[in-house]
Amino acid sequence: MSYCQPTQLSDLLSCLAHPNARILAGGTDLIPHLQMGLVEDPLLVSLKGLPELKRIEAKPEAIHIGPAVTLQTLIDHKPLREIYPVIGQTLSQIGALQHRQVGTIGGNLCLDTRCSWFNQSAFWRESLGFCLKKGGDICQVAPKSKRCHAVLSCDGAIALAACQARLVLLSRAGKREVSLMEFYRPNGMDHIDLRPGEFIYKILLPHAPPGFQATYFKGRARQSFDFPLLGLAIATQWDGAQRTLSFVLGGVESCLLQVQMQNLDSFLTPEQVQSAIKSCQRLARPMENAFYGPSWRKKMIASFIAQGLQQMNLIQEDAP
Amino acid sequence: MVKPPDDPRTLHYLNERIIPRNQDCHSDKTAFSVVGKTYPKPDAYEKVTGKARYTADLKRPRCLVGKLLRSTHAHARLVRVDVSKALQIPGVFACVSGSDFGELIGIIPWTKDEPVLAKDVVRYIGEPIAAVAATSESVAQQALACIDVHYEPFTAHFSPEQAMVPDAVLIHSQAPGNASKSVDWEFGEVDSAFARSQVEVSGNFHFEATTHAALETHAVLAEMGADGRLCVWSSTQTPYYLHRELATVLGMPAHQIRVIRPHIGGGFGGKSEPFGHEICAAYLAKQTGRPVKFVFSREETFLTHRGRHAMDMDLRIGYLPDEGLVMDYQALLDGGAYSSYGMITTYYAGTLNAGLYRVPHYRWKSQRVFTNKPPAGPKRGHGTVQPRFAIECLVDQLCEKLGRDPIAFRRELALGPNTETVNGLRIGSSGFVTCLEKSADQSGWYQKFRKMPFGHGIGIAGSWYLSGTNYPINPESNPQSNVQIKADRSGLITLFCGAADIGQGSDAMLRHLLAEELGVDPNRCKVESQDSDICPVDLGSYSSRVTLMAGNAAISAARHLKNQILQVIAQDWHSSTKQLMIADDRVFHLDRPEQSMSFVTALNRAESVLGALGSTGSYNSPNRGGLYRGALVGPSPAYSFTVHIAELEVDLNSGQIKMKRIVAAHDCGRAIHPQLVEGQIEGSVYMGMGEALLERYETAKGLISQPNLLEYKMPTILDVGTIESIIVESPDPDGPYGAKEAGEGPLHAAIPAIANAIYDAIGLRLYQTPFEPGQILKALESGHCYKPGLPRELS
Amino acid sequence: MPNPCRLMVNGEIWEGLVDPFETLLEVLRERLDLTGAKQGCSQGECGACTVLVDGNPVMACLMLALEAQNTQIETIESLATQELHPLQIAFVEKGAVQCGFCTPGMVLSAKALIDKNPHFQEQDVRAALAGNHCRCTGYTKIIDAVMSLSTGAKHG
Ligand SMILES: Cc1cc2nc3c(=O)[nH]c(=O)nc-3n(C[C@H](O)[C@H](O)[C@H](O)COP(=O)(O)OP(=O)(O)OC[C@H]3O[C@@H](n4cnc5c(N)ncnc54)[C@H](O)[C@@H]3O)c2cc1C
Ligand code: SF4
Ligand code: FES
Ligand code: FES
Repeated sequence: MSYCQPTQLSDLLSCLAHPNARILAGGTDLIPHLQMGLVEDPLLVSLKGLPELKRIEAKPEAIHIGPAVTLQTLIDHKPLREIYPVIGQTLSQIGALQHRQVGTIGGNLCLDTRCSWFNQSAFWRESLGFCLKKGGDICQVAPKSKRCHAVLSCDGAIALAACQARLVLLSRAGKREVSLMEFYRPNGMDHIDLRPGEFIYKILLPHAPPGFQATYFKGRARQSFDFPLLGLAIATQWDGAQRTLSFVLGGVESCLLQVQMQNLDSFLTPEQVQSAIKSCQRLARPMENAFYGPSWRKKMIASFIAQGLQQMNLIQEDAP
Repeated sequence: MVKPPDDPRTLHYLNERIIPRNQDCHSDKTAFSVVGKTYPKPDAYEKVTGKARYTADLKRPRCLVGKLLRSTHAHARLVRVDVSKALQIPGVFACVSGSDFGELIGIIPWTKDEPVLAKDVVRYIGEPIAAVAATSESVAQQALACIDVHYEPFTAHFSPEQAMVPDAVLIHSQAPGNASKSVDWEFGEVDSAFARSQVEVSGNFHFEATTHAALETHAVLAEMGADGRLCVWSSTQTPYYLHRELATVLGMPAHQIRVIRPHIGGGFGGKSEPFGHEICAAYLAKQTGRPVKFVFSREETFLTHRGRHAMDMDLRIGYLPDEGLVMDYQALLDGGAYSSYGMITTYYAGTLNAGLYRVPHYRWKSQRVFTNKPPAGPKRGHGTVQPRFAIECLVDQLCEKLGRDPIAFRRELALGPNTETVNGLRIGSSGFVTCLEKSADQSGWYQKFRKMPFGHGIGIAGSWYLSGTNYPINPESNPQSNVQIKADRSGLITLFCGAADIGQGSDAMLRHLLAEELGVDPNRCKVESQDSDICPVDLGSYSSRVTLMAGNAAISAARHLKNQILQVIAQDWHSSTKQLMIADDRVFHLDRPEQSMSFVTALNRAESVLGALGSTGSYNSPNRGGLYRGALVGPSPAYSFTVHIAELEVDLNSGQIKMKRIVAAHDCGRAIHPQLVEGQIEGSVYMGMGEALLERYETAKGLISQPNLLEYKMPTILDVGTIESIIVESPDPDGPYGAKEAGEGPLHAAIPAIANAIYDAIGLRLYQTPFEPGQILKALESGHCYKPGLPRELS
Repeated sequence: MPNPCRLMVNGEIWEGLVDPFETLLEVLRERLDLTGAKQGCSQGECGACTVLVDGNPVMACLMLALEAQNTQIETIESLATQELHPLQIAFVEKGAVQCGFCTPGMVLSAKALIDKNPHFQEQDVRAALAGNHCRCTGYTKIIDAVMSLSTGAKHG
């Protein structure tokens, strides 16, 4: 295992070209993985030497966020808080203060998927059986499945996707841009669309569209430390005539899930609420691999949507 | 091996020559100068500055790293364990396996069934198989990887039901039916009492296994001295038992062994027996001539376990208006792979049920079963937390059926002071009724019970616990606790006692008693308790025994020292010792106000006349208890009493519980150091709350599913709500100045109080810990939830 | 392959060779003998290893030593000079220390809070200490100790 700390972007890209290169940002996800023997012989590429990756800049077309910006910096960032309060609301529910202090937004977006069969020591996995994601040939959670169902567990991605964030990915081969929704794929072993040598260079947040409102709900057992058992962001836009709604779910699949509703009136009818709930529940496939079981997590989708729409004043109070 | 009889009653005779109990524990004393006041805990300074050294912090020159190889099979024959390859790796100094050890180990002398390292058979995933000592962590890891182990798997049992089927493969050949221990008691006339009972309630309860998760993991360091003496530093609650086991297993004379207990980062019962890794460290140190240190990972500590037994309980309670309760109780305990304390657990689970309330008719059947999982053992409130959960939930149901207020009903049923339970437990003092009253007042019970809106609830539960057991684990005629005091011309008084301060503050407690009895400033008193070379034996920190036992020994030693000093001064002053007293660091003459002298001057004078000043004191428990089989396990010199009132909100959207407040009143007899007592109450409440709401030691194929602190959900500071402690004092004639325990008893009631509060909130009875939001949400959705006490339409 | 590493710990410079995977916690405990930072889990799940990096609470088990270069690291050992820090006094006097294993981390997390915001309220204390487990105290006396130093508390 080795370590490098490039100070030039070009050096960073050369380091990343190494087949075993792993970016070390805050390390709050990577180091536990190293401890458990889940990453073999990596070349750790530190982002510490590149201050340009720690910048937040408001540009005319979008807000540019460097991947190495820490979660706490984003939470404390006043202008961002004013435009997108949902981001701070979400990020402040991640881990504990100590994690937010060093954990970065880039690391959060690239957080490895989680599963009770995977986030374990080598001893544990040897005893109970390896699985597809690491060293084995079956999925212990869904033995008939060809793919891994480990769970996307990064709160930040859920909220950022609801704000329609895009990513700038960079490698020696060039730059490309993807939407955050497209960045994730439904396979826990290979859930992010990063090509060899590529990394998240920037996160682009569009300026908030008119009438934008969003909120975030996190299902968890404790008020601190816990990864989302379910994360749900609800975002809405109202242009004066039409409302669009978007529900982004995490913690129930290996990728983000989204349900969108368009051409709505100012308020939602009870049928529309029910249909939103149904669509979200239909998409979500929580597995028996987290602290609370699938049925609770599915039910919570309904409960979060109902609460969220209420809080956002999208459901008309009954006429007196 | 000759198997000792599994009958404590035989030991009763062995133990006939019990030393007469220290008659004078001054329980009637009412005016105090130090007791009842809070002084900073002496070890707090080192701890708050980072200077305190715990076992893992200790460094010795040329120290080797010790590591264990653990079984990856739940139940298998060990066909081969070949360490020869590992020994060839440069940097590996020794590597041992099961064949290096002859003796089996175990805390209970009759059930020593655990090998130091597995030999022939492995019985749970994680069981140590081999141990290595190497120059570094990575070399040690490399060595473990080179040990050639060949397993031949057997059928493994992951539940008691599975282990009990006829012809099931045996986990221990000497335990037919995989039965570890069973108890069968009947007192009074249970069946006819049920026939007469006015109301009856019953339920099947399940208490999930939980574990201690002390923040410090297990660690041990061992070194052979140049003089051939062995020194072992270990994170243990029972240094004396470790000492004994080391002598036996290593075949060394006990006087050649020194056990040091450094600062301990919490125990809660998880470090209260000798472990294989402790023996291995000593053995490897002997073999290599170099210090060897083992520090467990968090996962290894989870695997070592000895936590609370999962218990299935069938309970039926009947109410007899003039007599009290009749109880028919059955429990099935999931013991894991070894006995550990299991024999005691199986008794304890039954002993305390027939008390607290009047229970003249009581039947108890318990069965502990071996399974292929890490051994269960004692956790705070050993064996009695699970059965109390079921009782207090059913008492709540009785109240509901009878239309009685839960406080009034409990008060009516309470077994008062100076009573005896049907199974022969003699209660001295009891402040239970005061606990009921004070907790009700402070929590606003009467304004809230059945009166808050749907979703908001308040619930109550009571409990009681023992302050040490009369009958020690090791049948010895030696005292349970010994104290030695040295005083010298500097004015420093040092008390030596092997009582294990694991953070609960027993050093501070002993210092308080010493200062009180001598009449001096606590700051001139010091307690040394870490080192077996200089501290006389105390059996250790388990069963809530330290305050009562070491405390009584300390008072007695201090009194002897005081008498020595006063005799010299009395002679000088031509009066009798009765006319003298020491207070505020001075010796006074009661009848001659002008005559006094500083304590230090008096000490110097006494030393010049008598030579070196010192004294000793001991405690042994009174010989009490019934005469039936098992009657000696459980009787205690004194019992503590507790009431919890829990207030919470059920989140109707998620079924999750939001704790608002727990008010816990605890009768500790006498609060020697009130702040420490409060700390014990608050910590116990927290731990009980965790077991009620979040914590579960869940296993998959015998292995804990999530051996980490992220998924073993201990409540965080954001989850606990407000915990309020109330100290109730009812001095017990057997306690030091009347003191009883405070370290375990305040845990039990949290769990049923929360269950009863959930019922008050949404009308749902819960029978299984931890209380799952999934289950609560399901009930809420089903529409069967309601506000108890209100007509259903209104709620 | 060992890398040279230069750390600024409690105002002193330490230089040595470290393995890339050595965590700050290992270096503090094993090389500098600063054992006040405790190891309770080594996976960022208990908070016992909390130290201050540039004034912020950080879990030393989750930070590689190499990544801690060019920062100011403060451990519990630096808090008391001639006298105890007021937080340390409060912890001692309020009975917030039982086994003491969580204490160094708790005190440092609390210090980061009070240095930034002297007018904190109880909810701020809870938020600031939510990354530090204590298995002994039930948190009551820890909260009392920290709250006793709030300038805001006096005004209600
Ligand atoms: C106890 C605990 C609790 C936690 N709870 C939560 C929680 O509730 N919610 C949550 O979302 N997270 C949680 N986390 C995870 C983590 O702290 C955060 O997600 C954090 O933001 C990760 O960022 P990092 O910089 O530390 O990531 P790192 O560990 O440095 O990196 C994570 C992964 O991303 C890759 N990576 C990092 N930056 C880039 C980049 N720019 N381009 C491409 N790849 C990159 C790394 O190679 C690595 O594979 C928790 C962690 C712990 C230990
Ligand atoms: S979902 Fe299946 S393949 Fe993926 S980590 Fe879990 S057990 Fe392994
Ligand atoms: S040791 Fe670092 S958080 Fe537990
Ligand atoms: S005092 Fe023991 S963990 Fe906090």
